[in-house]
Amino acid sequence: MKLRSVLILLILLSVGIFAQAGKSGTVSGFVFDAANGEALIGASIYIKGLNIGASSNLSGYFAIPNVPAGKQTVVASYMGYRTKQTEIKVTGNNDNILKINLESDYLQTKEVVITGDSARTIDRLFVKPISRIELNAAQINNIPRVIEADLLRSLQTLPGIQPLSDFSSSLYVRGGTPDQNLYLIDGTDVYNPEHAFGLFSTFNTNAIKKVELSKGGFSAEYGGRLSSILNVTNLDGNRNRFQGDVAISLLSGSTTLQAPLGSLGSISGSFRRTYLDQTIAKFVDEIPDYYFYDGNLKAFLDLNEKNKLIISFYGGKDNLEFIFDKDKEDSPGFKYDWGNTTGSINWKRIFSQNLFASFWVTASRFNSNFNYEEFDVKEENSITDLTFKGNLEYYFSKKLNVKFGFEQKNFKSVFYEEFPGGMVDAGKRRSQYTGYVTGSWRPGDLWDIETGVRFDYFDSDADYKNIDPRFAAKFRLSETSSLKFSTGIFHQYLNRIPRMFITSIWTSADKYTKGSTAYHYILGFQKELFQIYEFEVEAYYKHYDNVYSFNQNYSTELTPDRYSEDGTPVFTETKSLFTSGDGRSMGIELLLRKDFGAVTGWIGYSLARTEYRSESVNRGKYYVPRHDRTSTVNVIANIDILKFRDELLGNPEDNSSSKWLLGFSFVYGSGQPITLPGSAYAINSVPSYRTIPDRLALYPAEINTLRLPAYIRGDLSLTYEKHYSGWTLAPYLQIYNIGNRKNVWFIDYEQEAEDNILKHKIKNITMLPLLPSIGVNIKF
Amino acid sequence: MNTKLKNKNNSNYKIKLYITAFLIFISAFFAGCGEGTLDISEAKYEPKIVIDGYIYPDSKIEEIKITRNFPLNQTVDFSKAVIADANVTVTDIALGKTVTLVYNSENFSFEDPYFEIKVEPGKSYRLDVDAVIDGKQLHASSVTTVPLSGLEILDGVTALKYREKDPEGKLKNISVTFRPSEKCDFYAYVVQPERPTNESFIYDNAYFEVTEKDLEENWGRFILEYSWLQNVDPQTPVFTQKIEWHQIWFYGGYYVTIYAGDRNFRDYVMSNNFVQEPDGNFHEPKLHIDGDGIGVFGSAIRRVFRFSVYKN
Repeated sequence: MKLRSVLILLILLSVGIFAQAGKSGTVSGFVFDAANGEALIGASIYIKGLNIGASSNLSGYFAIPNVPAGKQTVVASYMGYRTKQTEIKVTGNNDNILKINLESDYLQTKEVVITGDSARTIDRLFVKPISRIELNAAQINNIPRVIEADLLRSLQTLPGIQPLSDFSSSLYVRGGTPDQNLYLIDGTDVYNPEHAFGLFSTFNTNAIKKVELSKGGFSAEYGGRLSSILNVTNLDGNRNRFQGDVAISLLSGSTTLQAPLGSLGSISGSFRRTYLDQTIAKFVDEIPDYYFYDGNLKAFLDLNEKNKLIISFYGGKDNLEFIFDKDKEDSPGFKYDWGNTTGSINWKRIFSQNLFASFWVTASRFNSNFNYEEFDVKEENSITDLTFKGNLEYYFSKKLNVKFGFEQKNFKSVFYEEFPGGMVDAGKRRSQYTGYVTGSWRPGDLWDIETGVRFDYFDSDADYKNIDPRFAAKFRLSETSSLKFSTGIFHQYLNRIPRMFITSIWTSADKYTKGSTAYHYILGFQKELFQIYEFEVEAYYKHYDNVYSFNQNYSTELTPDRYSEDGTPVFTETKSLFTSGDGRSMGIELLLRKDFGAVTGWIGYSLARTEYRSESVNRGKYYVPRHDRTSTVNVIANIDILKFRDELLGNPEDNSSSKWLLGFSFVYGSGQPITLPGSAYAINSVPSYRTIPDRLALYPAEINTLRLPAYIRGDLSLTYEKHYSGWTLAPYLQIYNIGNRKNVWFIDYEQEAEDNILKHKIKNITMLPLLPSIGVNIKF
Repeated sequence: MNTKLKNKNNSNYKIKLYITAFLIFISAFFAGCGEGTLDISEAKYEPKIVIDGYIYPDSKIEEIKITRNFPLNQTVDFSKAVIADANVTVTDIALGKTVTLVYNSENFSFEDPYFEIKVEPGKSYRLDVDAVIDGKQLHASSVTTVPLSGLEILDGVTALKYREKDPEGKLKNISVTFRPSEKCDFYAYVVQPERPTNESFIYDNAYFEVTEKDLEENWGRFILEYSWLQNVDPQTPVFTQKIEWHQIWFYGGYYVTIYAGDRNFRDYVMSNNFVQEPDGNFHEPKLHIDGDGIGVFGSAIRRVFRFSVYKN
């Protein structure tokens, strides 16, 4: 019944869509980077003298309906680009789709000049949905890093986004766990986006055009996860000339190439591979044979003015071959490989100037294989997601935009494991059907209201149907400040069994595990300071129902679902794997950001608290999970030294062909909770082994009541960029953890026994030490 | 929208601003040196009665150790951990018969010296312990149901050279074939060399280099190997279990004790030694002791199997 209502609404909207007519016209088009033809996402476009405008969508498309007929001036602006004015003649039957090419500006010039036609900081902030963070490739690459530039590690420097440790690139967004984040690469879901046992993420930063991360309160267009949406758009490819990047670090070599395809469009591709296996591992026995590679290919095809086709592919693989003793021919070992493959075909169609549509077919597969032949252990773990989806945007009037769409997902998961005495065969097929509609209404100059609803039907051995309403409102408080609010219900039907250092296993809602629900309430305040600084404060409260944590004692509760012919127990279901419960997260975040000029970067602060409650944990009382962190301060500063000097001294613009870039990163995080043993006791592991036990067992104190010491780390990078005719050379030095601070990860208890005396040797296990690295980037 | 920002006349202001920012950065970097320390004494200690006891059919109850726990970072002298004056009773639940166990200082255990309780397969027994620790009166109890009989060793591969291979190059294994106990789905097996010495240690093993010093320091790690089979099909008439080569560290004779264990035994073995997660956090093991106790009070049917490993 509810589904029928949604469908009727969609039909009515469609009828309204095609019934439009009038004396005014619609101004629509695409906004591109003049240098390479890349579509610019989020550019601001308005009609001069009239208080109407729009911003470009993920495809760079915009439409401004109800523009009075006659001569008009279209003003387009985008951060870091020169504002452009275009004279056009608007008619009632105007069918002209503009192509606006903007030229790069701010990032190359010395002076910071905000002109009357520039996109104002507060306007850009106002357009941005609440809790949205946007980064481009340059901003990601400028942040000091652990050897490799990494997208997810860059995001960990923003307020509300926490890492668990130095060894993990996973994101804990506003108290949520990493499986509550939806990772999209060119519209395709990515599962387990991890290289090197989680140390790095799978996204090659050189191939990225834009990253949008929504930390909560996202619109009905997105769903399937409780916490966040990370939307990565890769480079379409340079439409004007052949362009290449080569990056060489201590860990890997990578290249990104872009080329025009004549009038047809463009193509871009990148490839990266680590080479420790071919270098150090040849000489150092302790280093196992391990490498990873990844690559992506994307073609942007301009079929005609109204039809675009984008074909995108990504593939990555990690390979590990571990042999206990490389010097011994007979020594056993294991092989482990894992990786992602994604592909998408995206057809963008302008049905009319007011109706822009995108249709996708996407496929994503994560799989891993583990083989330890001597121990008879074999594992295959995969998840495949084939999705058909469509999104239509209708620019109804200057006050009303409507988006509606559908998504049909087909999941196939395989988890097959053989081990001595048992077998897991937990392959499942699931489907999900989703429809959504959102309306963005601007009742006046001060207000922007977005409402939406998302309907999900998850087809499992126990079906789940949910309707998720969403609401967001923005209000201009003054010339330089605005207020935002967002709330909504969010559902998730996939759960992840986390496994440290090895790939996680995805399971789905079924008769044992219900879908999870989150309720978001977010209030934000934004302020433009000194015209170039962005200041944002957001307070949030999230409530979770039916959230799942991995049951650490699951093995004691497992019961086989059947026995094979030879009597081997076979496990096929998810029962006993999770403890379920509810939870809540709350916090306040501050962000001061500056995106252009000689000094760029941000200062972030987060005050947060997350609590979970489960009947089977902590006697049913609330407890804080391991990833809870009360206070976090992040400072990121990137300084163009020569430009900075000139700014300070008031020197004229320097047209030097070289520059020095200095990067600082500092993080302070108050201690994470940890459960430590409250006592030790002497006991045999197995019966009757010894009259006097030679083992001290540990019994934990109350869960996560202690806090680790504060986490503090400073990183530094120095890059020298030299421009030659047609190419650029940029060698760099990176120093991670420049103070070599020994941040505690956990405590290890090593036992010592002598005669009847037992004691523990207590050792702090610390995270990454000072790590210097060098590399070079070449652009041509 | 017609605003212009010119920054040429405010250099002094900017210099001050940037010097301040720079000093903050320097301070931050200095703060980023050093070492975080965690005071483990902050973990809350609660006194507990520690039970380490098993009962077996047709055997006298004699392996019930009652000790106490200690705060962390203390040296534990086992002889001082024993609570010799604890009041320990075992009750045959079906008969309603309760016997007070007597402390035997020779093996630090409580026992039923006159064999008053006869342990039988399929029957349930309750252990009750009352003791005073740190001036606090504590009580712990646990019930075990003895697995049904049936466990018998039938056959096995009893002698091989170290990592011996068949003519096709495939590794052979020591193995034991046994008939499971009725309705029992958990079997632990403990592998122990009969006479381990420095000389009989397999230094040239396939896994990692062990020096004499390593062996001396980690002796306990090499002389006991155990594993288990869980969820064994109770309908399976005969079961064969391999002894893995990584469980063999000495040449010579071995004995393997196979236990058909009850639920308490099973959950203790499967969880007690695995309370620290890979990220260092701890969680509670699954113990079946009520009140102020930790440890295990389990029961099992047990059988012994022997084999030998020779040098190549």
